[in-house]
Amino acid sequence: MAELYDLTAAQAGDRIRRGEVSSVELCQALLGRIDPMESTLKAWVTIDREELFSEAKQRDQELKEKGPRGPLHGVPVGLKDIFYTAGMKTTASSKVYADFVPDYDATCVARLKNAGAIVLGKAVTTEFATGDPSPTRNAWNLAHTPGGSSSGSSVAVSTRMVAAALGSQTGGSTCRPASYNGIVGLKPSYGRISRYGVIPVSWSVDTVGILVRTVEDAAVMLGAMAGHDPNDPGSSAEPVPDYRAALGSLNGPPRIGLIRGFFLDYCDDEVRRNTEAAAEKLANAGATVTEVGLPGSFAANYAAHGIIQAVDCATFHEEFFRRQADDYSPKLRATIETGMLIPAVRYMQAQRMRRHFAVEIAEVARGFDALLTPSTPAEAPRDLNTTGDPVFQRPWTSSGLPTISLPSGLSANGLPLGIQLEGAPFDEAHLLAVAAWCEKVLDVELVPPDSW
Amino acid sequence: MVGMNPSQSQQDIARELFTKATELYGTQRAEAIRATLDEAAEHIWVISQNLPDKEQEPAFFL
Repeated sequence: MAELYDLTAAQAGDRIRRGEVSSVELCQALLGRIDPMESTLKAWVTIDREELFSEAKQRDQELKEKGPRGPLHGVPVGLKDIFYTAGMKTTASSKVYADFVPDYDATCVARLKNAGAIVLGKAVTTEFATGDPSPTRNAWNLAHTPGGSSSGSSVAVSTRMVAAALGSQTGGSTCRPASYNGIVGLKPSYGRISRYGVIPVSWSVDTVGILVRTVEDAAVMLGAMAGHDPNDPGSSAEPVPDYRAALGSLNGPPRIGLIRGFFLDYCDDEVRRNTEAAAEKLANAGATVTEVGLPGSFAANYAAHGIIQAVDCATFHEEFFRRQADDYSPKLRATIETGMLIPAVRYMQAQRMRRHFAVEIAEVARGFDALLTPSTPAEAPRDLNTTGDPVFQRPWTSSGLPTISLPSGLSANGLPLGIQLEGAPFDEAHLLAVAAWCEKVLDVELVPPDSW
Repeated sequence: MVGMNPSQSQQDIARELFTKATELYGTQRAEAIRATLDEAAEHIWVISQNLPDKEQEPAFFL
């Protein structure tokens, strides 16, 4: 039988509900996993063991007395340290928020708790979820970046410290580290999950992300958190289907649009071969794989995304920055200082350009069950001064389309590679169904070396 | 104003941004962020060359 720490979130929830394992036992197994690895991998900022076991005992008792709250009853989850947690520090891995203790939970955290989840701890993020690398190490090779900004969440899930964790994506901060660490990363549609109580980078594009090991877990986590929140002005009122039930809803093999233009030109040979091999495997299993082009607005949208991200970021940080500029790390400081110089008219033109691109790329996505690209241009770089290149995530973050990264093999250096599927806006149910089909066909489960 | 003259080159915009950065943050900081300023200049230039149709409204929340 698998170790408890090997259980996925869905499996753990099922076993807890059936009374086969308690939440307390699961927490003990995960902490036993974390303790020997944490000093090397540095995935966590805060783990409150007393609070964790108090919550786990309470869930176990509640199950006996009232039954389960939901599919995640008693299941521990990790939270990137930008999600507000009532009574628990939320530092954004920054000096500016070093002592910040929120007095309420972020809406998505509250919804996870309503579904029965308990908070295992707060995972390391790059400073304010931007580009200065965190101390977290890639579990596949300590000399390579784990990616960012959701570095702690990704490494914790990859190494079985926790089955599911929250991240966020402004550029490429969920699907890129997911790929670098050999796990599944889901960035839902913009507005699908509330950002209320999440420390922002850019209000225009920030999206809550999900880091897990299976597509089923992505569906369970999304189902627990999705839905309108009046406290988030970007939150959508689109109805929330049963994502887990939809996983088997495909009527036949999917129609996949393979985007070779730009993506397969920009990536290295190894990634190109891996993506083409994955597409061929999907086609051999019955998928219709057709090459599809990018809309004319694609290239200029990169510039628009850069301007929007810099100005939004500078706007949020203006007040702190006036008082504590020296407390910011170099890349974030440069972004803020630059963002403050960009004219309002150029920012507005960027927002107009972004909407134009979003409309055009959504039309492309609607022509297929999913679009297919590589997740990253190369394996995780052997450079701890970078978090890697978010270039393959930015178009989807910018346009708000849902995307999911799946592991698709290992590089010659033994590092994970991934493919990314993109779907139509707010059609996560269909995207997850396609992803589940692809996951089964590709049959790639990556487990990092267990030697930390 | 930075990047508002349609005939400005990317290099012109970068120079203008660097001048403003020097005024606001001092020479040392302006030098420290020169790479980020250059990237922003490229973005501003690309946007100035690719203005969307006049009917196109901006996105804030999609």
